[in-house]
Amino acid sequence: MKTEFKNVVIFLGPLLILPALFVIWPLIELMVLSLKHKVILFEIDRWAGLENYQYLLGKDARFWGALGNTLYFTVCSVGLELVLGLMFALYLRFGKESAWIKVILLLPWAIPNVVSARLWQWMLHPEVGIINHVLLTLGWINEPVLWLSDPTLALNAAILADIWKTTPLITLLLFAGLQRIPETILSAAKVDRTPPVRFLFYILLPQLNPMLMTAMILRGLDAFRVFDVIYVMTGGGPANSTETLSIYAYRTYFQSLQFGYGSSIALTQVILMLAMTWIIMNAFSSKWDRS
Amino acid sequence: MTRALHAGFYGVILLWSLWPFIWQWVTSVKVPSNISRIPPLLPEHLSAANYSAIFSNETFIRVIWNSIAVGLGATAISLVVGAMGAYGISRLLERGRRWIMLSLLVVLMLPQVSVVTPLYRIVDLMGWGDTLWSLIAVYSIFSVPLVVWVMYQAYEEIPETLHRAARVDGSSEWTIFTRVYLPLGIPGLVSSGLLSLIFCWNEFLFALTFTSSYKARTIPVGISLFSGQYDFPWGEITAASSLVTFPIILIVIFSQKYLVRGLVGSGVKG
Amino acid sequence: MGRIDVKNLCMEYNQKRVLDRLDLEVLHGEFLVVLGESGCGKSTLLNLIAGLREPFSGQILFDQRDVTRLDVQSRNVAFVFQDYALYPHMTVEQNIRFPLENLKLNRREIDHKCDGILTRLRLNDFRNQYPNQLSGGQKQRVAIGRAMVRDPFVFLFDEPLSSLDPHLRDHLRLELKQLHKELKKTFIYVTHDQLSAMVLGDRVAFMDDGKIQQIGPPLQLYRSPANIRIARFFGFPPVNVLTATDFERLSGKPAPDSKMKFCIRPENLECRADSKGCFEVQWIQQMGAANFVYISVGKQTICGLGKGSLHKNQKVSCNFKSENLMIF
Ligand SMILES: Nc1ncnc2c1ncn2[C@@H]1O[C@H](COP(=O)(O)OP(=O)(O)OP(=O)(O)O)[C@@H](O)[C@H]1O
Ligand SMILES: [Mg+2]
Repeated sequence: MKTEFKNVVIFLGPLLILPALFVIWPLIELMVLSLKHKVILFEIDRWAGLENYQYLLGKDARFWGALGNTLYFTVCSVGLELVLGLMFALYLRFGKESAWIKVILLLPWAIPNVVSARLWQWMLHPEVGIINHVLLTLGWINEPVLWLSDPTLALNAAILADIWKTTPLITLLLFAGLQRIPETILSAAKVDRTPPVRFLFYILLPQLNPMLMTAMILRGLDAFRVFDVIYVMTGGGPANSTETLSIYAYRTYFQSLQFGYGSSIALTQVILMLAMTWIIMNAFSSKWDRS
Repeated sequence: MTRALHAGFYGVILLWSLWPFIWQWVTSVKVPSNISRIPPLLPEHLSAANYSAIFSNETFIRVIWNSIAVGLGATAISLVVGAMGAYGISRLLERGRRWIMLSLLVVLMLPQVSVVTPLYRIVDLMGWGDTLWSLIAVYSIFSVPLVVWVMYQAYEEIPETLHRAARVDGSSEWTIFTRVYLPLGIPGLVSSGLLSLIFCWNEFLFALTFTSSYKARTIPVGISLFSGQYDFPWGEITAASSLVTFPIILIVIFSQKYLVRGLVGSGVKG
Repeated sequence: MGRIDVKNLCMEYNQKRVLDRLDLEVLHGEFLVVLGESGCGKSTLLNLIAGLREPFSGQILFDQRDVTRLDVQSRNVAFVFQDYALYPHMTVEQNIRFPLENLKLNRREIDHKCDGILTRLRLNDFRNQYPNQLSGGQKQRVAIGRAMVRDPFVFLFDEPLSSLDPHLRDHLRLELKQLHKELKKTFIYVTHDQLSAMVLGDRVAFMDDGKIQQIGPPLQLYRSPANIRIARFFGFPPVNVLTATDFERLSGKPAPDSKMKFCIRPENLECRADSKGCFEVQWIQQMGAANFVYISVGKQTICGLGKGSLHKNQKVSCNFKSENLMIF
């Protein structure tokens, strides 16, 4: 009916126009830009076809380095967060739950990334940081560790900060998932005297699977686009050892002002994210559908 | 025995989550000249010097106001657009819901860096360069999907017969929305409003690139741009950080239930 | 007046026919029960009459006026849903006022009408309570009150009693019947519960295969069903269906037609203790008022009404009146 169509326009119009204007259009522009040589400083602006991508995928060692860093960051932080989060969640579900613990868990998640990055930067300060101080006092290290200026450590330090900040979120998601498992199933397992390890792997985890998947995909995507924490803590250095794709793209845009090439990097990142989601969803789809 | 175990586990969680905050407060009340000395761990006497330095800093006050204005503005817009949109998806569409919800998720998960330059151009075209409007507009776009996800969940939980009953009672869609679904969706609105506020309060990349002066800079940018002559002014940074985390702590304490519901609600069907 | 004619109504969901050229006449002021199995399209029919959905083809007339293309607001119908669909955030009074406010009447008129309804339905004491504080019966009255205020053309009920416990259901049925007498409006009530149909309906329409198969007073459907499915639908324990050979075994007479099915209701099949009887009691179901016995006839187990005191493995003989035999 006509009135129905009018209603759809009224209610959904703004919702569909906003993203169309501010997301789809930018993505199209990104696609176009990525096929150009465009460097604002030298007023270069000409078509390049696929040259950007050829260089990016073929010769650009910095890109592969950034991709490696991003993957390392994503896998380590999401993996550890899931393990830690699952432990916390299991404790909350079967140990002791309280509203206060949720408040405390939410705090790190709720503060700005920038603040938490500065906080960790301060705690990891080589001379006056609390972490070095504690480790020295305990005698675990003999001289101050250069957490953020040692290329082999800096990315791990950033991972630590990220784990601190987002484990709570995972904990809450998994806790909610655990609460949804019907009490009857748990009782049945108890009556059957299932040993704890079997209980975890054969009863809890399969039931928790959809929530685990959700947490993994959402967190995985979020970690893959990481920017704030690393940008503030190390700015991508030392020696590009913490440069992720987002930071590489950002630096290409705003430091070398190569808008064409920067767009190629950013678009590659988007495509990789879509591919990642697709692969994960398909790899687990049978389990995903059943639940 | 079990009590000791519980106490132990709680201790671990507490220490892990809170220690950085505590260290931040401890640092912020040290005398500025003592900050770059360790030991002593704890300040010999409390000092408000860092805080007074912050409060006498006009740009910092400005930055806080900017953050509040941007957060409230963008949240208001996204609540209106998002609640209406969620209602439309949940009650007016017969097909295509999944498709819309998934594309909103894509928007939510898009790397900010990938759209930052085209968005910058649009903002510039609108004449919003270096104004709060640019941030309000962009933040609305990114928090609308969040609101829609939470509100869609909330509206799906309202029995469909209520919608039909209201139609039989002679209401227009608009009346149904304002008199039945909005009031029933208030918990969802609170959840998603808080999530959106926190998102706006924390966002960094757009705030960094769209602003070129303290006219429109927000707190995260302000904190990231703190700089001193030699080293970072850690006393002031920790003082400022403590200040901006304070409202968040209040929000978390008083609306923990709503936040958890919102987070879980938007995550469940992902 | 409140006459409704449904003509040639067709409805499809995703190319699946749910209603297939359905015809139905509803008389003014009658209580019509539409009965049918779950999923046969009863709710669909009701939604079409209300105007909540648009039919694929066909016509719906209210007092000869074609309303097929009118939407729900302009049809002035009342709809009572299975869960009553009261607005949980509004008090009883606000629930009842809501439809009037939609009509944009003035305050005085709304107050007046609302008070009238509250008094009439004995809801005055609860006017400031919220739906979750009400009992099942009160909820039903509020739902009906909310429907009544607009003085609707017809009341439509979509199985509002099916989820309640049997005692409450019984009570609410009586109340509903009473209300129908007072209001003198057309009621259409949809259900898959044969008992509700028997108790409530002035007439019962049996729906199957997207059509109305038979329509008439409840006893007519019970006594002379138009087909075997209707026969099977009514009565508990369910009707016995016999093949010609088994029928001959049971009655000892030749069957009039070997291809027909022979149906006899358990309560019409009397089984008495008889040492020369040719059937044996398999087991007995005691229902308090009556005892039903199960006996084997050929390969089939059939059910009859036990007369006198019987026990397991006892020999019995069975007989029935020929007017109670249904042949399809
Ligand atoms: N919106 C819809 N989309 C697709 N198919 C539908 C829809 N509504 C109903 N159907 C299908 O149409 C058929 C009839 O549905 P309807 O709800 O009218 O049955 P019903 O007789 O009311 O059943 P019940 O007694 O269980 O309420 C069912 O097979 C159902 O699956
Ligand atoms: Mg139905």
